[in-house]
Amino acid sequence: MSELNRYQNPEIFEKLAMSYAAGTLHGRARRRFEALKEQHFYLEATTNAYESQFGSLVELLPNEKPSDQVWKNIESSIMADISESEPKAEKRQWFSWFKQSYAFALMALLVATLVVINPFSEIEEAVAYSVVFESEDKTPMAITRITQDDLSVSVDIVKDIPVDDGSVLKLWCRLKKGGKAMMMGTISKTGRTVLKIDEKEWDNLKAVGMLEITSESAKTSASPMTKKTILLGQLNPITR
Amino acid sequence: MDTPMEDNFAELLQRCSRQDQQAFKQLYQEASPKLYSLALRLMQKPELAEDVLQEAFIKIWQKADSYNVQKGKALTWMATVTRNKALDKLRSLKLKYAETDIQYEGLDFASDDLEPEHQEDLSQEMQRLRECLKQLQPAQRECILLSYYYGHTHQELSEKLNKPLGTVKAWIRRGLETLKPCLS
Repeated sequence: MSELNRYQNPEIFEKLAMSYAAGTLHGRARRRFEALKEQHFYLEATTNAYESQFGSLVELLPNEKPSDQVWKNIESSIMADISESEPKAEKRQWFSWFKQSYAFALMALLVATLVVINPFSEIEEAVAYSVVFESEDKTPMAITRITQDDLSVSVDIVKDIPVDDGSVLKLWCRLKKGGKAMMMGTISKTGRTVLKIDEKEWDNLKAVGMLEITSESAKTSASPMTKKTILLGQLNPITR
Repeated sequence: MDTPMEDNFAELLQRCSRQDQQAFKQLYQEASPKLYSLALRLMQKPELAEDVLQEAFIKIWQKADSYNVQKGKALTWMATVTRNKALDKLRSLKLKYAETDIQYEGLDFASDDLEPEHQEDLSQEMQRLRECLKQLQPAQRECILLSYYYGHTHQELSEKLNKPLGTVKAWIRRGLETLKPCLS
């Protein structure tokens, strides 16, 4: 099995991600994992999830006070950073002006205009999404990546999914606010399926919380009565 | 439910992303004692820990706009930044645990018998993690916590705990296997 394939196996990469986040992966193995993490978004997403969980351990530590010189060094460093950055200074002035303004309607109009046309807007947008689909017993079974550059949804089935021969797998999305699931397409029971989406569908992903894969009879139309959810995964935005 | 402090960190980070220096100063004042404590344990020397803290906060300032709640809680995000800075520095210095004058060691702060008032300060995530860690055998838990807080390698743990390397590796592997379903 090639190194890439090894790292695409959720059973392996999830253990490595967990070990990395807990700090038990060392030396060359840690460096190799870091290099792969940079290349493969699902490794990054899984590692971030575990780092977030283990990061809570910092709460148990006693407080220790650093010397005052540390803040002085940080302050002088960020001041130099700010003075080198003209657009950021401009943005700060805008923000100060906003804070003082009581003309609410005018502010709303300006904000709306800035959101639409401001080329310096730093509102963070997802450039991709990842999903690790898990079975009921929390076993990772499939990986999905949704990328903006080619507007595609790529679903990789990484473990055999026990379904009847006469059934088909379908990919659905669920909105964060709830409601009925919406179908995204039919996917293969093995290997990779690539579905295309349009710009509007890409934008709509902001409101999606979960994806699910259902199994249903190929002969019946999709309805809540005939489909069975077999895999679920949370949609994780990837930002630059 | 988030602790009031945690809400505050996320809000301060959001203001930092808009280049609000007052917010950054407040964030430093409130979060640096925990993050410095983490850096001290990993680096073992105050001067190195302060270097790490400084680099971490500069990165936090520069990357504040990349933080969002989906990346986890603000303090844990900052802890990850600090920890990764410390590990990078240890790597670049090729500093070994055995070569330093140990000033910070032990896991008393992470013992199970926290005072009730201290427990109330913990986030829901930390309380959940503590419950998961309680499922581990003491040796498994000790190895994982020493790895996290002190960055010890398997070999260093083997020497510190005076146990065979294979035993330490097995404790860690089984500990993580036990934690996985609990954390999922």
